[in-house]
Amino acid sequence: MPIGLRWVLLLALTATVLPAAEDAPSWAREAASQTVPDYPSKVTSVVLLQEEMVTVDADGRRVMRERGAIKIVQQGGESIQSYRTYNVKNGRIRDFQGWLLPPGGKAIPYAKNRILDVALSREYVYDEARAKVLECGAAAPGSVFAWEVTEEEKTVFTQDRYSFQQRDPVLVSRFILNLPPTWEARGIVFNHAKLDPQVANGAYTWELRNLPWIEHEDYSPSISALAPHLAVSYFPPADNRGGLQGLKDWTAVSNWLAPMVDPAAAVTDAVRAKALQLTAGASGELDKIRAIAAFAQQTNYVEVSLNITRGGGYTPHTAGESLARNYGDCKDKATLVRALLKAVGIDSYLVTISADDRSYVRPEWASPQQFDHAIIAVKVSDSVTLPTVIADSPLGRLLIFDPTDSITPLGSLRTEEQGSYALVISATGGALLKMPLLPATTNRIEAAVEATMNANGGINARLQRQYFGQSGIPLRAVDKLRGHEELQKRFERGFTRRLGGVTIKSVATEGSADDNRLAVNIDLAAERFGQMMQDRLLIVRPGSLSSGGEYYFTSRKRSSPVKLEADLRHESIKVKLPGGFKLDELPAPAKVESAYGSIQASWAVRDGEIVMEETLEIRDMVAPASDFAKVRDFFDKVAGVEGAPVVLIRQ
Amino acid sequence: MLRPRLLVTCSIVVLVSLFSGNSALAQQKTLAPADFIAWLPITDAERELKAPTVEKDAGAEILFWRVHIVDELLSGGRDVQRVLYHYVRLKVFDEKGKEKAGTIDLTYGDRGLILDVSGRTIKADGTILELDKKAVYRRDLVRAGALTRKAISFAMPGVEPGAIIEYRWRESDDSNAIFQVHLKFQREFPVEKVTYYFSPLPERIVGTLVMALLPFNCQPSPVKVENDGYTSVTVEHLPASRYEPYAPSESNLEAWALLHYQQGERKDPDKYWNEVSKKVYSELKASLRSDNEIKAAAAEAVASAKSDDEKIAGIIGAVRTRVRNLYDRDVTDAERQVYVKSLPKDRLRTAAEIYKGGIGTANEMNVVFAAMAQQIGLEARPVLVSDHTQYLFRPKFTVDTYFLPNIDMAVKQSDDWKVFDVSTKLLPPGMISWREEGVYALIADPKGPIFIQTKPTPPEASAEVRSARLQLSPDGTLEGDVEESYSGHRGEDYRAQLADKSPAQREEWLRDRITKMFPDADVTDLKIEYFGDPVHPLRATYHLAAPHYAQATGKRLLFQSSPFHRAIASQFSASERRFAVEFPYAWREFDEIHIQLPPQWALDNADSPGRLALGPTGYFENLLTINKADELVSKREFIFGREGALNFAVENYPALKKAFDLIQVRDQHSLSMKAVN
Repeated sequence: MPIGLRWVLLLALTATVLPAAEDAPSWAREAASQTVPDYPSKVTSVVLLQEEMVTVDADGRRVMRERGAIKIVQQGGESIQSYRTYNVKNGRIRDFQGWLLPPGGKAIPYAKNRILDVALSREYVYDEARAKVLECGAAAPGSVFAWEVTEEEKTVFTQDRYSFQQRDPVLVSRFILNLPPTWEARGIVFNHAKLDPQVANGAYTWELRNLPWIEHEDYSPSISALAPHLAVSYFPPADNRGGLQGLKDWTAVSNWLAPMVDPAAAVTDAVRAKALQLTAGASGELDKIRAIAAFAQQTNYVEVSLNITRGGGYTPHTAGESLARNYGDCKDKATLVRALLKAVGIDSYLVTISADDRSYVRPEWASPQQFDHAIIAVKVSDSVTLPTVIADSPLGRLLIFDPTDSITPLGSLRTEEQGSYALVISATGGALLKMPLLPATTNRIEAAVEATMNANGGINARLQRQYFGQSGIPLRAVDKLRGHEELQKRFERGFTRRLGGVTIKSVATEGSADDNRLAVNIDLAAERFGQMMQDRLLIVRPGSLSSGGEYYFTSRKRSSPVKLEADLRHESIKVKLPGGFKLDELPAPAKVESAYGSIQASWAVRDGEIVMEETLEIRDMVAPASDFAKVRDFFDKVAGVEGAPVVLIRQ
Repeated sequence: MLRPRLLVTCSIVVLVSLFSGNSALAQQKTLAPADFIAWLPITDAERELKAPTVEKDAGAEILFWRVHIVDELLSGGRDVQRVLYHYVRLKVFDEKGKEKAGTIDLTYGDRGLILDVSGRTIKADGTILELDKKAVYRRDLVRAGALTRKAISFAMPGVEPGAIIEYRWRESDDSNAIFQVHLKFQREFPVEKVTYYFSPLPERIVGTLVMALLPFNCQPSPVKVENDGYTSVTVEHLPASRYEPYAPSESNLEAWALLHYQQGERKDPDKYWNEVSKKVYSELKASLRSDNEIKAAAAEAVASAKSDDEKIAGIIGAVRTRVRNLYDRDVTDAERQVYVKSLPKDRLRTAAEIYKGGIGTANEMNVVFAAMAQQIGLEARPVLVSDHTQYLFRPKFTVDTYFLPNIDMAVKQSDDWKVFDVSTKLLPPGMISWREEGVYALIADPKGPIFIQTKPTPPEASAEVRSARLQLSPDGTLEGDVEESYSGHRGEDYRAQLADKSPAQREEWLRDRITKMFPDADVTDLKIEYFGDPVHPLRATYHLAAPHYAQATGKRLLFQSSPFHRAIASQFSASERRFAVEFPYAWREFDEIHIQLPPQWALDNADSPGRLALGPTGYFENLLTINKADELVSKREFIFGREGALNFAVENYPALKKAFDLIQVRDQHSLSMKAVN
């Protein structure tokens, strides 16, 4: 919680106790009276009730009433709070009340000045979205924290989304939608069996009970892929007085967005001049696109979030403005690229996508509210054959590019965006398309190590690693945006975890934009890389010089699926031995094939050198929790290969 | 870490004499400085600068940062508002500088205000882009009742490598700290030149107080009287603020200065401290009022004590049991509100009132302790203690209570004063926070000040001790019972991590910690004891079954002789370091691990990792033996920080890193076993 406990404590000391307002409302007392089942020992609180009631007026104004009650089962959890976002321009929090119901005691209402009002984002230069926050504060186990908040908002949207839970277990969770007569609603519940609403007098109610705890586990899909949530669209009559538009399919969404995004991409004189300047030396279509893409990537990313409830989140600044300021947010940068391309005769489309989670967008729910990021699709000829081309879309051959990502070059795409559904916006025939999922080979690592060992087991080694595609992006980002010193420190931290007494002498990088490759050469020394025993036995684990890539599971149990990301690594490791040793034991060659990946490794001692060759491939997949033992077994084998010892004996 | 500050003394003298002659002029100045009205000209040198001059790899560099401190008189001249006029000029050299410098956030609290933001970008080709006023956004980051935290944010237009950006803002400060200004000299970028311009407050506000400047970790220019009546001080060539693990605190590391008002020149520190000592003592005396309840509680607490140490421990235990710290997690908000309502308006609470109320601040808990100590005939005094995490205090140089932020109690035992802090509930009685160890402290005595240096605790007082009886199976499984204990500061570290957790969560936490060391392990019969009783070391016991601990090769079993340390990386991975290394406290690690080796297997060319001498600060040793029960016994001991040797100059970093690297290597020491035919 960024606001910090200090604020809350300060408030607790300065806030006045309300003169016994009103006891807690009956719904809160009723919720608090429920018996809570036994949960795993890590569970610290239980949601007794979570309810969202949305009432839509005929002119589209929405009133949202949220009620909640959380029971503190034991101390030690994260701070419990009620958190409600609102829009300062077209909305407000009309009322916010909270109560603490101590076990067996009288309910204590929270003073109004306990409610914090916080900016939603600190990173944005400005964001009109804010949140009101009521922290439960220090309360004894057995207490129930209850709240009711009413928000109102005027919006152009005709859709809503409701999460039935976060990670805590939930006894009752419901969403109620009240619509004017003649309006209709359709909803889909994700991550749960089909759930139909109960409908009565224009009120649609979706309700779930007894939702289990969702434990946070490493390599788990995001919570949006695990917790049940409802996506609902409502459909006003065509002549509604708010001028609202129901969105029945993706074409409708595209048609609705196109007038917001297209005008800003108009070509001005300044834009045309810049486009001509950028492409002056470009010989063909792809060269022109590359020149413009590179320019857009150096445009600073600055987020100013305005007019959200009127579709401001989808309405870019004009390309002319962004060009003049040399900054903008994702949609501004995408629009600038579109205008520059248009100026040199290349058509493109703005594409909306989820920035950080490729599984977030569900094709079953046609809604702009699934997106939080904008990229572009460039219409290209058959001569452009980059891996990020979608060859057979309804809009033709499209080259996908994210100008906000200042590191990933044209022809590649951030891992989080690959394979995600995204909406290509067009006034005529926009479509939801699956973004290209690049094969592991395009993101591979090829590593070669040459090391020389001294008589004490210490080594001097030169590691030459080639990072292709996305595998090198984090390193490029550090090198470019945080500096070479930080990059060296990153390698030092990594090697110190794997090897004892390691000193990195140098780290040199060389980037190649043409094949999206980063070469990293590392010179290092490690004391006692090989362990000498009684000056007779020498044990060497060459795999500890590999580039890693293994997944690390500590627990034997698992409740959520395991998310694996595509990875391909070739390692060639040579360690020149000190004189006077002969081979005593060599690991048997390893070859493991599984649904999750494969590993192949071999060891040999030739001409006084240990030679290890290894190929590790991890498949892009989500393995169900029931497969966890098999997943772990595979990665245990990978770890076994990387730690496998070669035993030598003095002659 | 104090640097010699001959110049400081000179500065003070010079300032005093300058200000006394210029105060009338300064009082008239309530307008913005000239360079806040018109931009200063860009020089050819600035325009042509291609690379940073302070730090070679910096992506951007502040060419100058000028701050005018203007104390403006308000409403009839009785109130003062301090206004700081900032002007930053910065050059961008590369992408990382562009990324970092392009967006500016200026934050301030509800007692301050930021106004009149302006800025411009001078591109490499000479084009000038003004910052659009409409693109300067003001927002409340947090509103909480009457309290707010605000920010002004803006993005500079046209930022690119080679560009110069400059921006100015006016910052007012209505806080009560009108007599003390912390002058910050370093920022997130290297600074070529920072200049503060100031004038003294008018005489009717400060009376006989005079202004003085105390610089730290830097050598400012001699103070200079400017033509416009301001006096300036400049510091040049300052690196960017940075973080390194185990670095000294920011106040002891970065360049800064305290601009403050004081009574006279404090040429006689003894006189000053004498006054402070008497004042602090008399304030405490009024609070020490006891009643029969305290008297009885003190008597009961020491009833079975045989020595002064035991008596003190008894009293500390009694205070901790009876008086809860206001900020403890188990104090509810309702109780805090009751506490606030119970505070007298015009005086501090007495010991009797605090004891009766059952909740108090750290200082109040110490007052109760002093009152009870007096009741059993011990001499107790308030003691002002310096702090490692703030600027370290020296009585002759830092002549101000500003540098003594902690208030504890000192008790006289024999001829020595010993410092106690009852509020450190996670430490055994008699230990104080490591922040207050090895620093100067002022004992406030009615007869005059007594300066002492608190003692650093020896490594043995903060011990991590582990014993285990384990069995190694031919399939590589390591199984058996383990006992761990943590005392002193090490125990405090763990207790603090576990403080917010329920008993079940504490066990889960420990289980997670063990399975990180032994993946796939089964950890059963887990028990944590003495969590809430720091008189005893925190103790954990469990049964461990770790499959694949030993690695089977064709004819050997390989395993590491230090099971609980083998996967711990050295704390120092960086090959280069900028700052000195400061460890918080001395500690001892001791493991005695018995491993029953599998029958029909024998050690193959085994040897011990051995001993590593670390000079006077300590040593590392891991000896392996086979005992009569045919068990492998691994005794590992690591002692560090003897005789307070906890601080290492940056030139000693390579040796320090090497020592920790070698310990890591020894902790990874492997043994080999072969089947006996």
